[in-house]
Amino acid sequence: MTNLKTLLAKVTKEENIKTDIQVWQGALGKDYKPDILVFPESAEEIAKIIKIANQNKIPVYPLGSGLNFKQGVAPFKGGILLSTSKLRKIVEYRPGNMSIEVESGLTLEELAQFLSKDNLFFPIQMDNSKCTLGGLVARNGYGKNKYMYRTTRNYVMGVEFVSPEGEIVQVGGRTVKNVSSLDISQLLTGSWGALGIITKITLRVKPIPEAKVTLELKVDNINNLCNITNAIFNEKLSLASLTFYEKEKQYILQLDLEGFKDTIELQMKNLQEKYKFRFSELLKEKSNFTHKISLTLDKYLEGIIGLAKIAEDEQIPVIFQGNITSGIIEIEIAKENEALLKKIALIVQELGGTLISQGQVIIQPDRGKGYLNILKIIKNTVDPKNILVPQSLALKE
Amino acid sequence: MLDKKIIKELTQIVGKENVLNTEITLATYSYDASPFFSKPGAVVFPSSTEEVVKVVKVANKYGIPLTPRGAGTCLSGGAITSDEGIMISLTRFNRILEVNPVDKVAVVEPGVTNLQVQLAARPYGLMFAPDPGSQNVATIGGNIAENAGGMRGVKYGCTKEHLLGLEVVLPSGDVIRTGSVHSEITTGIDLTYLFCGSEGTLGIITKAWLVLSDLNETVQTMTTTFSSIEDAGDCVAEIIAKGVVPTAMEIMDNTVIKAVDDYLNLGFPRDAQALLLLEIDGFPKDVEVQVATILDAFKNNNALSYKIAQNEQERQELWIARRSVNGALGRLKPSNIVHDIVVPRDLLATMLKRSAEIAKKYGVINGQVAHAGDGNIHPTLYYDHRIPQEVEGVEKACDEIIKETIALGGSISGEHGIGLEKLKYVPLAFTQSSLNYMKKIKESFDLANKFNPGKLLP
Repeated sequence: MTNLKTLLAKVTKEENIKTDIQVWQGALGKDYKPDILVFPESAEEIAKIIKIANQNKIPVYPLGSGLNFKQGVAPFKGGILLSTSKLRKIVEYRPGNMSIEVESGLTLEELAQFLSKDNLFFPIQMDNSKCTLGGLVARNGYGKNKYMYRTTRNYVMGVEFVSPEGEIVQVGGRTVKNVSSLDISQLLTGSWGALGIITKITLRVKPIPEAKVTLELKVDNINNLCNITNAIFNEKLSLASLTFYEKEKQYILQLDLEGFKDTIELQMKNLQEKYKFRFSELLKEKSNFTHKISLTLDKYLEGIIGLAKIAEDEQIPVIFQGNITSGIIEIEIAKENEALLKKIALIVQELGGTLISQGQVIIQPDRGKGYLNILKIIKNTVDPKNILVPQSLALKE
Repeated sequence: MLDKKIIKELTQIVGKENVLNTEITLATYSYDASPFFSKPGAVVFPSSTEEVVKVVKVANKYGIPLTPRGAGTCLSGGAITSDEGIMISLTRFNRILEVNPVDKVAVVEPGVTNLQVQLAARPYGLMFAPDPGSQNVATIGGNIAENAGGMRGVKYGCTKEHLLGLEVVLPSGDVIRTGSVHSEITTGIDLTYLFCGSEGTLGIITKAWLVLSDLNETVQTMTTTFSSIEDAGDCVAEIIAKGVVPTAMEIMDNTVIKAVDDYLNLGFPRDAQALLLLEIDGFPKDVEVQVATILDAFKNNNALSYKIAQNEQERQELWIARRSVNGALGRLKPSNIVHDIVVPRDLLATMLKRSAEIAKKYGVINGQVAHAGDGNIHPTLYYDHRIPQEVEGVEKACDEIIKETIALGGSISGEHGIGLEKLKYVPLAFTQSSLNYMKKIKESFDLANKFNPGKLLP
């Protein structure tokens, strides 16, 4: 340990190296036990740290806000936890190009604040805006408004990262169109830190929409929820999201519209008159449920009806919530029950979706036997000593 | 030509009528839409994933290079073979498997043309947003392999932004399925977007899940002219900054304006330095608001005069100038080379001017059109290939235009890809460590370097 600390102290300030890991266990939990925590101040420092790690075969785990760390990394013992929180500069801001290059430790909140002075915004918005942009890119995050704005990768124009062997690599650029050789920035996006440590990102940004409005409607049963959803999908709307949650045996359907003021007013009026939607005052605080299901939109309502029927047949209370426009259903089952889970899994499988129960993947699409193999070959080729996130869950069955 | 034994094995896979190996037939597959030329050892036409896998395995067995090809409209030489390799033409592999209007997704085989997807989507009020100039014949497989763009790119992005998943035959012969139509909620790495734009060097695309977009009924088209490039550039910048997102925003420079006017007698002001063509689509109210903003921007930036199409016929009249550019300029000289550089949008006018100056320095005609909203410029250099001085002048001008693009923080290709044509410029655009990383990714898929070798990466 002392030895590792001495080695790292050669490439970054001593105050940037911490060995009192317990202070950090609150964030990650006791299953994650790095030897050392380091807060490098530049890509150059990270490159040097990675070279030291390669020479000494020490695993390195990049850390952003830590909010989603466990989703990408299995528990481990030993190694270097490398925080990007000292990388938070705005590198190049070009409002005339609608682009901004930032260091990876900058948070969504900080970016939003910076851009708002020019009436611009970064469209991917998460429930917790303390997440870092590096983390968001590394997992290709998306928010409630995915239907309108899709996922992070749609806004990534360029990336700088430190390779698992300690080279600083720049890929992509700052232009909206770019087909100059292999698009490695798209490979790094969503690679969960296993193929490189992202240090800078060039993002596309947009003007803040003129108008945003949230409407809601109370419906008393699942069938009505489905009928109204169907009708809404047939309306021409500037729809950013359509979500629902359960409240006192009823369902609250919530709808976000975004766009030009005149259009939004017109659409809002129509929804108010035709369906009795009204302004939504309170946004519900989101809680995570035990089971998460993702379906295509054309199978979504079939999924909800099927799940509701199982709950009724088994006489087990099940609470539903969901983001309809993202195709996501979340359910909370009062009593865990093996037989019930099997029935749910069967429905999800028939509908071609993905099911996660208590953090475990139960059903997911078949990618072919060669898929994991090619990912592992890529990993071995860019990281022959398996230094970077050796326990990456992105490279597991 | 390939050994008879190999031809026999290929014939057993796809049938005799789907293998070409005579001198004359091979000659017709020796070129794409670029100036490059190379005769394949054989051309095979598989029509299923299984057949593609079998062809890949035969090629592997004999160590023969492979090049996938759609309609062969590639502008950078990506669709011709190397070293008498096997060309896999995917044009028979051309069914539209599904149009799903709820998720707005089309599932298609690689040989389907872009136009066929447009036609299949239209009855549902949908479209496939990428609209490369070659869309009537270019295939979806090619669109994806090249990450094709088009005029609508300014609003909708390129092919990459309209892709959810792929089925791919890897150089190993394994068949993988990337991406998903439903939201990703597990922890995985999605290779879809690495394949997009990989120019056939990582695998052969055998199926694609495409994103469809709403087809807007309300469309408004207008043109205006400027007496300076700077005014046109400022006007474009103002329009973008105000949150207007046109479906198309095309600039033509003075060389092009004059050539088109000579060709079609449209009565353009011949001293105008830039012509701007704009199209807006969307909800009726959105179009109204945006047109008002655009007209303000015209006024604020000294636009000379403008026209707004009042009906479809007038709209087509406004578009004809843009669509006739190649024909009009082609009358000036027998040969041309077209680039597709991209600069940050705030430097569009700067680059248009510098590119014009560079061509002038070498005495070369340079007609420039630009997808202004993307910063994507097509300098088109016209010359006579029979006159060595002109050829040399064009080469020098191209090199300098590319270098200037990189100096301004731009990209060497926005639409056409690297292929063979821009290989020499790739080392100028990337550092050695970036190139090393790219090469490692290529090696991961294709260590033997048999999939479209010699393209994309120097």
